[in-house]
Amino acid sequence: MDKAQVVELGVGAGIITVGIFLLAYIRKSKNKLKKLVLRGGNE
Amino acid sequence: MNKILIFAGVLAAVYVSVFLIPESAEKLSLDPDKPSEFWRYISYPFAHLNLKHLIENILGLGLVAFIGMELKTAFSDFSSAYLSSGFFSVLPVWLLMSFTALGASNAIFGGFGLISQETKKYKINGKVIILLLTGLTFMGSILNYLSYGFGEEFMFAFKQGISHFSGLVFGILVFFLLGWAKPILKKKKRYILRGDYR
Repeated sequence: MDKAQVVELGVGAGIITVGIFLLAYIRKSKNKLKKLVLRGGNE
Repeated sequence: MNKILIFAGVLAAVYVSVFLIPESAEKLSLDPDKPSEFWRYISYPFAHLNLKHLIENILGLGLVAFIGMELKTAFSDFSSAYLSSGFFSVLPVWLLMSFTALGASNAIFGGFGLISQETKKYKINGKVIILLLTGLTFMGSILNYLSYGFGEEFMFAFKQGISHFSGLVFGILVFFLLGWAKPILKKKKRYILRGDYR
């Protein structure tokens, strides 16, 4: 097998970087929504 | 512990175990010159070419699993999208373009495709995620074309890009297919309690 000609189905550093930012963004959005809901419940 | 994380942990252990098999890349990859070796059609998503390839995919798997967990994605949805994308999404591209392939990234892209639709739960625009991932997927082939023109290296990068893109699209399709199929497949017993209040 010529390893130079094998298509590596690998995610790459770019996708991993985007994934990390996406995870952080999702956690931030969830916290924002939680605060909005709590605020609404206290009004 | 969350089922998705357990699933990811088991898969990572499988990837490492398969990697440790001598000559696993040669024996388990999807090879157009060996179409009668049927095991390759199910083994290739578990095989990796080298340590960098393996580590990248384990990190990608971990990320997509954590994101799925944060979005409270159903385990059945996540595992269906991940496994079906891993096994099937590259096949149409492979049949048309004929190349040797191995690795879990199509499954990971399938997971990203699914979660791009799941983000709607938290008012996050999934289209931005799809555009970003698509751009990154084809960046290699675009840079290659700009550097070397339309040659063998561009075609190689393009095959990689289109394979990954097929995983992303497959994951999105699985989301919509599950949305359609679930009410039909689920057998819910409805008990209607009728009270006699005479």
